[in-house]
Amino acid sequence: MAGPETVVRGRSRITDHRTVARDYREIRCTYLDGHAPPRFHAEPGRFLTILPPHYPNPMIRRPFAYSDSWDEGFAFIYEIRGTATRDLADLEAGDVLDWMGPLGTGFPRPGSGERPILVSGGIGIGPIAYLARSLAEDGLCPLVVLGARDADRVPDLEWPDAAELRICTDDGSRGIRGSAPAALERRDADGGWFAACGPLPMMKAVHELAVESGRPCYVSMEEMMACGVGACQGCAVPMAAPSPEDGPAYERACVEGPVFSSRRIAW
Amino acid sequence: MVASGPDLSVVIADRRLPNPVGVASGTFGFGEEYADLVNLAALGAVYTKAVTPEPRAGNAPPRLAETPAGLINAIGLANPGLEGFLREKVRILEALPCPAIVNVAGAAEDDYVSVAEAMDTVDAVWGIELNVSCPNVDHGGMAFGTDPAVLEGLTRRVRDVCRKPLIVKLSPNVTDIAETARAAEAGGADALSCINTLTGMKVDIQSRRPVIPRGTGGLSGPAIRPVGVAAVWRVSKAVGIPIVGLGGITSADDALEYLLAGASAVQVGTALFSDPSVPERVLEGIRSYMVRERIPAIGDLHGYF
Repeated sequence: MAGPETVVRGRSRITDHRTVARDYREIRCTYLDGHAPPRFHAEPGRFLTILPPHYPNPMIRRPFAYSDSWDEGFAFIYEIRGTATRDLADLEAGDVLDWMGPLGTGFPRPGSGERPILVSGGIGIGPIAYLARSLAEDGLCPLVVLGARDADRVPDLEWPDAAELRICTDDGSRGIRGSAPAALERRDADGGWFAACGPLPMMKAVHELAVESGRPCYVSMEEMMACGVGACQGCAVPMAAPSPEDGPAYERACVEGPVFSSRRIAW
Repeated sequence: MVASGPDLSVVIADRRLPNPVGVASGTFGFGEEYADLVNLAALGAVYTKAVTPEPRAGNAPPRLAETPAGLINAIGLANPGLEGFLREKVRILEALPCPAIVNVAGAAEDDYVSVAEAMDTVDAVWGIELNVSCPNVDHGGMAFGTDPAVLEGLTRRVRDVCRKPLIVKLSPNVTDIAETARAAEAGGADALSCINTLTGMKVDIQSRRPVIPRGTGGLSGPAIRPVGVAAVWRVSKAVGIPIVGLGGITSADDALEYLLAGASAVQVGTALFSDPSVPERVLEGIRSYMVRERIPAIGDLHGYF
């Protein structure tokens, strides 16, 4: 599993900023000096924080999971939700972002013979799309279940040929009606290796299916963050207690997470 | 290299900090988390996360809420406890290229005394900062910092077991901060940190509940800077010991406000989260101001008002 080797604060120039679904945008950018810093491993599931464009209004960096990373740059998908992301949406190609990354612990790799089942809900799409491409490059054939509220919010992304895509929407306006876990059948779980990113109830449902089937499951947890590097302990994720008499236990979404084995989470 | 630049060192008790710009407790862990991003050798001091006798998991999330120019936190003194500190954190402090000041907290007087006593024997610990002002725990914390008689008694007990520089971190959540400042000085404090966070609340109007489950948290960031500067100014008129000013410092200009109001040193906290280069930039900005204004030492910034 990828650990935090070197955290870098850098600046990158936006090369492409496009709408991938209603309220969802993808920013692609390149490093100002042309290439990634040394020992830079922005694997799927890891994230970066972006300084709000009109810092200090608002002030705190916003975390976004990488949706792609290559030698010369990286990408992330975000949802226009509040002031910081509305300001981000105003940026254009040529504008420069102040980022810190790569942060946190990403997805592990499936064991040999395991079939990756990747489940995305809403804005969880960024890291799941990146993971799907990365696994396909390794010769695996992931099943990707992509949940969205409605057809307008189904992201327009390129998927590797090796991936089997199942789309579902809450209102049935595209694909299967219902949330992403509803698109999964028990037989899908055979030999499955689950990875999920999205709303908590969705990830919990995937976790329960994985547990029933005795299969591994990894989830990417979203928490409000301040420092992003493990110092402030603001992004605590409640962990399942090893035994009932143990008190509450937490891990930091920004260092030990955001990706955890779903069996460790206090659902 | 100018041989006779301004003297940026700060004397507390009989010891000297290399420069006035430290990083605030709770924002910097034990010094390793920011190692890739901050030039640790340029820091006047690292004020560590609070240490309590027993390990603490901290509060249930959410622990953070952003407000205009501010951040509310309710971490709940999450820390590895004294044994965990001695086992895991001392070696980190030993490797720091700057002084380490350990923030000490507890639920009862004996807690503070036992942690302070232990710190006195750790070479890597330059001094301690007594946390009598944490608003985010059910027992202890701020209760020790709001009653002058209780604060004086606690400070004296810690003083009796601690030969290292003893800094008491004052709460702004009092009617008259000069009173608690005088109490800490009377109890034997060598310096005062001023201020801890202000009690604050953010309400989620959709759920009709406070964002932070326990209701209130501690507000930090630029929103509280004028409160901190005023507190430093009032405390500086009330005591004769050095003051470490903090609350909302994002630039050298902000830090100079604190120094001119009577502080001898400052801490950068919340601003680190957005920009880890703030402490070094603050230090350079203070240095150039002193050169430009021909001010030979930090103490010469005092007394203008």
